[in-house]
Amino acid sequence: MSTSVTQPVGAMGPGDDPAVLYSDGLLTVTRTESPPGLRVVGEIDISNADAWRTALAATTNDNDRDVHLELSGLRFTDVAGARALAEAAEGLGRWRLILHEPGRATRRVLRLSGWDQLPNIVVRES
Amino acid sequence: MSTQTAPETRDGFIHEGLFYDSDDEYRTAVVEFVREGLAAGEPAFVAVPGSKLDLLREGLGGDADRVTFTDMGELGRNPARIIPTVRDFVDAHPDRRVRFVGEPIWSTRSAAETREATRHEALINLAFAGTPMAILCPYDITQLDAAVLADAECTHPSVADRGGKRASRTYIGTVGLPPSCDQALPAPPVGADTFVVLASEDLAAVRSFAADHATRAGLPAERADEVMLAVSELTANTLRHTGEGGTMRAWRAADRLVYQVEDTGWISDPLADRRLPTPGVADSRGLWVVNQVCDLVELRSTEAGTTIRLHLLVEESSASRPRAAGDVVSR
Repeated sequence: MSTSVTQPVGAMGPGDDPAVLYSDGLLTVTRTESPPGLRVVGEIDISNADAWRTALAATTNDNDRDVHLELSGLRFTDVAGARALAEAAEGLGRWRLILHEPGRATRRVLRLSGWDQLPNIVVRES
Repeated sequence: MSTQTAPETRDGFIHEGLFYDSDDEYRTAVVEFVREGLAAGEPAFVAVPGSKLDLLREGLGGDADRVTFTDMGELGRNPARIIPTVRDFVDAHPDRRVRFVGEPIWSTRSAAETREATRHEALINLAFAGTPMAILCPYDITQLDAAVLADAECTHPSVADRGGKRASRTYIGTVGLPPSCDQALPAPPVGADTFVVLASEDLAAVRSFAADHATRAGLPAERADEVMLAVSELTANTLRHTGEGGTMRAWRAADRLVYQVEDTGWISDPLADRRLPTPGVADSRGLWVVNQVCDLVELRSTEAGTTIRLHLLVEESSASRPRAAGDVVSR
């Protein structure tokens, strides 16, 4: 597991205006700068899993830092949505996918699918 | 076919039914089976009803410390969870022959549970064909119906009783199931709630519908969430694999909630719902997750269509949560 930590370097304060990467009425994914990653609100299932995977890929493609996902607003994800998380983590190689405040539904599906065992998926709760 | 092969063969796959009629015979035969393995350096995994565990621990004495025990009442409540757990044990001992004692059927099991446990007994031949291991499955002939014992004779290549060991006369091989396992499920009650799923945009609504149904019936929030996940996975599978959508039905039975998804698809792999997920992200895990959260799953699939019926116990189910298969084989 990587032990390096990337400090957030965003120059903008908490009032920054993150770009909406995807929104469909069930799910809204916005880019966050500080820390760098995504804020996810709503529900993920096969109706929007492809869009979710695309949004994740856009954020993890640079592959030069940890990626932070703010998941407190993610009420539900099915196995397809969890698989996208696992794929993103695998693609990050030595960098980490840091899940902030995943709700119990997200934690459950990661645990049941076994993907919580991926070494670079890290859960942070306050 | 190997029905004439002596069951004592040192390599290859052995799956023997033990038809016992007393605690004494049970303890003697199981302890002998386990000790034989230990003496040959074969790790042993024993999954029997909780009430029998002490009997075997006593019988094994100091050797009990070298055996992995699990309460089959927990592990095998949903019999589809047994094969992946045994697979985990086999994989944890590469290059070693292993032994498994599995007692998945006891007299107080419901007819539906016994049917699914019989299916498990048939599928274990397919799941581990060619694997160097020995499996012993005790059946209490003083308590179980003749039909159950006849099915056990169909699912075990060899059987043993007080008269000794012999090849089964009716073993069905690794393909096919005893006829009792393929009977159509009893029809849902007329008043069952029904929800038709035609497109992926319907999934959020079917999830709310299932969660509301579970909550109204008194399931705790955690379990209602699991109903939501299981129903979401099954209906998503329907949309993935058929062009025509499917129907979800929900009803309350005596001590359980039942959720059923019907579609026109065909799950041709009989082990599709009981493969252990591999490391990494490659394989499909929807049915795996469904089996982890449900107390019983009945799956009937033919070229004409698939029906999957999920059972969630209402009483005490929140207190005695089903264990994940991966948790069970650790000592």
